[in-house]
Amino acid sequence: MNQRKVFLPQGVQDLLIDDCLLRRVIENQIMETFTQWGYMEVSSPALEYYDLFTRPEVLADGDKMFKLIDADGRILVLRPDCTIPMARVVATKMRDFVYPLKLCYVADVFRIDQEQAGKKREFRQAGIELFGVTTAKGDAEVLVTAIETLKGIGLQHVTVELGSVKYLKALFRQLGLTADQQAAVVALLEEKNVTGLQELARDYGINGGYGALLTRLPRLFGTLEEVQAALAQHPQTPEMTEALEELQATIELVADYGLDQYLGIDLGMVNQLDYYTGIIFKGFTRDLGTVLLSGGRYDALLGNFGMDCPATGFALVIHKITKALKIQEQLQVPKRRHVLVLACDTPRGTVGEAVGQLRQQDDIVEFCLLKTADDIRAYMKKRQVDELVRIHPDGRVESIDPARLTDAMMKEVTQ
Amino acid sequence: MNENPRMALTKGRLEKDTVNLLEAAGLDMEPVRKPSRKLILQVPQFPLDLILLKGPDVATYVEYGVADLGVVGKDVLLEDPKPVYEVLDLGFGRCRMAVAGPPEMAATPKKHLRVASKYPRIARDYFEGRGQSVEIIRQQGSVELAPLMGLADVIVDIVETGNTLKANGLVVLEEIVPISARLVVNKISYKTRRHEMNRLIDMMEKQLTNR
Repeated sequence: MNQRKVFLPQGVQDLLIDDCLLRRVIENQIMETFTQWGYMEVSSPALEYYDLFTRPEVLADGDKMFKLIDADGRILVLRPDCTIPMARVVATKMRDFVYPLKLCYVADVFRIDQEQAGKKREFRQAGIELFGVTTAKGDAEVLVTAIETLKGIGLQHVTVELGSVKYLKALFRQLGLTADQQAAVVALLEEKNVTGLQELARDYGINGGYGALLTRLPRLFGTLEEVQAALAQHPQTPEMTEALEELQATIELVADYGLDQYLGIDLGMVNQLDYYTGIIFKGFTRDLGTVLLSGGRYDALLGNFGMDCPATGFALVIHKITKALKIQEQLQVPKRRHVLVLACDTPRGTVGEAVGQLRQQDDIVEFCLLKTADDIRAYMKKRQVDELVRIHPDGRVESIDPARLTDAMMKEVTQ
Repeated sequence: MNENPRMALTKGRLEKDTVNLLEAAGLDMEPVRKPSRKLILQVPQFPLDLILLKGPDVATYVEYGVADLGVVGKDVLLEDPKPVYEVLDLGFGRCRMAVAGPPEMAATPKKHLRVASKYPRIARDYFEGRGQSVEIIRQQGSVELAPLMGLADVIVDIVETGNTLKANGLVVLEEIVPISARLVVNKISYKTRRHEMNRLIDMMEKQLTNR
């Protein structure tokens, strides 16, 4: 018990100096890109009612949420996701705002993930949500913003891969899968488990062209052309054709903007199928084995709050972005000129004026709180202080060579 | 990104089977067969590096993308599911995950069952799926001992030949799931190196169908 006061719970961490600085730099850059694309920041509380995330079953897994009991016995959670709170905010507070409505956020999310020691249970997400646009233009807008955001923070070898929930659902309908069968198929698609899908198709008595397509789905990824070529030998329903055309139209819009080289397609991509309704996507870089960004269209979510409003958006995970940037050696701690001030007895106001002038160029200017020359030199070395100055009684600022600083000189300095 | 695709093998029997398979596919497996202290082994004349790990670590290495591919038993993947692609059933390392116990257990199902296993999650999922609440007793090895010593009513374990069970007077009561070795791939590697990955997968698959 006694030891607990010095340890941290699993999955959380302290960030020290440079890591805080870097996080701020990265987040500022991300939010700046969002702002430049017309998104407005909103902030929702970390505490919400449990029911928000479980009724109706959108994020389903209540077991993975940190819960608290309110004074009146109601169950609260630390937000496990940002999109659902955004939808709540829009439906309850911004219904009459001008649309399309573009919102962005950066916030901590909390998830219980005990199975994997070392996985974060508190982490920061930044993201955008675009409300009120049904067309491919909306999807393309969000995709372009995603790519520009990743590029904006200096991430290299970026790919954003697109899938289509509409296409999958159309295929499932054509195959006549029950809800349970669908869940089993989705789990196998998530693993790209071809053997498993083949066995399942046998068990369910699925065969013919659409059965072959189902077992081929895990391999249907790559460029648009590659996927289209592979699809040529498979049948498709009008609904599936429509979903593919939607995908193609979106890609063409991104190509018009000039960013299609960052796009790929994975028709076997699955992601929370009862939540997303159209195009879904995931962003990654070849240098980090994990997804950095994910998003898609979720036209039905607002309906849960009694508002009929299409929506699409994405979220990215800050610490994964930071890790990828570190691997790519794209991260530099920003350095500012740092000045240490020794102030002599001066007429009132003189020091303030001198310091104000020193700070004008974004410099760090701090008063020396140490007494001996050696302590000052040690401090300057550790903190990488660039310059030591003395402010004379007449307000004159004199630069001092720290090597020549003596304790005798310190006597004149106000202590 | 690693220069060559990196494949993690599960040390022991799965390693030998994988090496045989790759050799049959035309790869020079000499560096792996030679005993050595090297941890990363390069396949000569072919873009592939091999590393040897314990089963659960194979899945972890692939999850984080430190290894691009891995060969690991389905039992490991079921006990500790990882977000990786499971692209191929390699067919070897075949056995069954089963409930075993003294023969009389089959006739007298108990309301409260004590289950000893090295696979607590698989055991719990299986019995919960049947609506039976159980007490799981986690074991590290020699699971067959638990029912003999009265620590548990039944065990959940891998059964290959059934010889160990028989020697201890136990029988398979129920089969849970067939097990075999799987080829797993990191989710990002498969996308960013799809041509290399598909080449390897197809190469291995071809050998399997030729057998």
